Amino acid sequence: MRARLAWATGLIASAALFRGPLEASPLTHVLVQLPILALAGALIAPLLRFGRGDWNRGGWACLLAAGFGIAFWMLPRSIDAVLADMRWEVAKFLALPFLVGLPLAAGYARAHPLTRAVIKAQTVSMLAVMAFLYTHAPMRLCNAYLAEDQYRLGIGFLALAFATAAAWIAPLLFATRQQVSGRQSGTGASGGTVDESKEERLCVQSRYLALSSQPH
Amino acid sequence: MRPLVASLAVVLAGSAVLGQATDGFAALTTESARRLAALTDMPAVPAFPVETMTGERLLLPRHDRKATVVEFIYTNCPTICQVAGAEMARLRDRLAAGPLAGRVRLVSLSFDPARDTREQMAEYGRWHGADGKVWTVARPGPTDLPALLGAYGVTVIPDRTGGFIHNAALQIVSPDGRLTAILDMDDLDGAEKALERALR
Repeated sequence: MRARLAWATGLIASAALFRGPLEASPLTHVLVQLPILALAGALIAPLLRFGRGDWNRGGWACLLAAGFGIAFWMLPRSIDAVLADMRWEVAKFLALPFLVGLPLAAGYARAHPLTRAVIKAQTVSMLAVMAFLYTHAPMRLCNAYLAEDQYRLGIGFLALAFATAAAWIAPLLFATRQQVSGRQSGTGASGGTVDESKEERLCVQSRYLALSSQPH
Repeated sequence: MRPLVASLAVVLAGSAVLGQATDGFAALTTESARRLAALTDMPAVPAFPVETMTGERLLLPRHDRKATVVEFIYTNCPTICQVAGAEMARLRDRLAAGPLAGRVRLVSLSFDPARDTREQMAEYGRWHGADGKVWTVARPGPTDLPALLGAYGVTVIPDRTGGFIHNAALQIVSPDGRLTAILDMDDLDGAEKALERALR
């Protein structure tokens, strides 16, 4: 508990301390500083009673709130405003932990494995869309950043899309191999049938769902 | 039922906030918001003293019977401002040949007043054919610069090669000193229409 609080405080403090260099480029502003702030909020979620009530059954209310929070801070306007106005900067440091990270964690913790799978698929596709947008936009989207930095941010989104996709697919591959080897040693000479392969696939799927439902 | 109510409340509140933050989902970027605000709110621009390429000192906007087209430049600019200067010359020729002749003033305003001396401005004016009357080049006082850029909604950033990048546009100011439209540098049709509207 202490450790979580210390980590969260440390993350917010470092995001504030390295504000200058982090915000000098949109790549580090959007893909390093903002996630750090959201992560701080997510870390303290288990310490609070927030989101345990019936109103958050299935995590829907919190996940939706986090979705709107993310959409708001993805607006190029918001990023420009933060750089031009100190009040916006303060709002960002409060909103990312408490209106994005915290509800995301409080919602995800109670979400059905299928909801989680949809969120994951949506995350990867949205990152890819952002990558396309920022590498192909014919004009500057932020007045405060150069076109070449905007392009770099797009490449960053692309890299993150591949990285998250890989990170979420890796356990599935791992589970498949383990399941396959387990069956080979266990069933002996019963012979491979259609039924068996079907059963194996179900095993893999349920294992994946079990993996996804573990608290992160 | 309560989870559904909570989710609906979140969706309503979230949509309201997003709608508010984007002018009704119309402007996702600062630049589109600035252009939309000019069209709908027509904010009054405070008058700032400027020095022109001919050494004249005057207040801008001037609050006389003419509309003003303001563009922002710096004379050391190697690329985009040279194109902008050419577009400004085309706009001047076009206005001179049309019904708005004599009713519009063009001002190329420097955001680099330290380096853009009167001689520099005159050189830039000569190069692009600004006569100092219909079209003049001017610079604000260095202390007025941030407030002036703020009033027009212009953000200037260094480009890492010793120059600057800014949200270049044609700012249309009505005779009573209101910012009534902001258009792309090459949108001369739009500029002419906006000037007609500003002069009405």
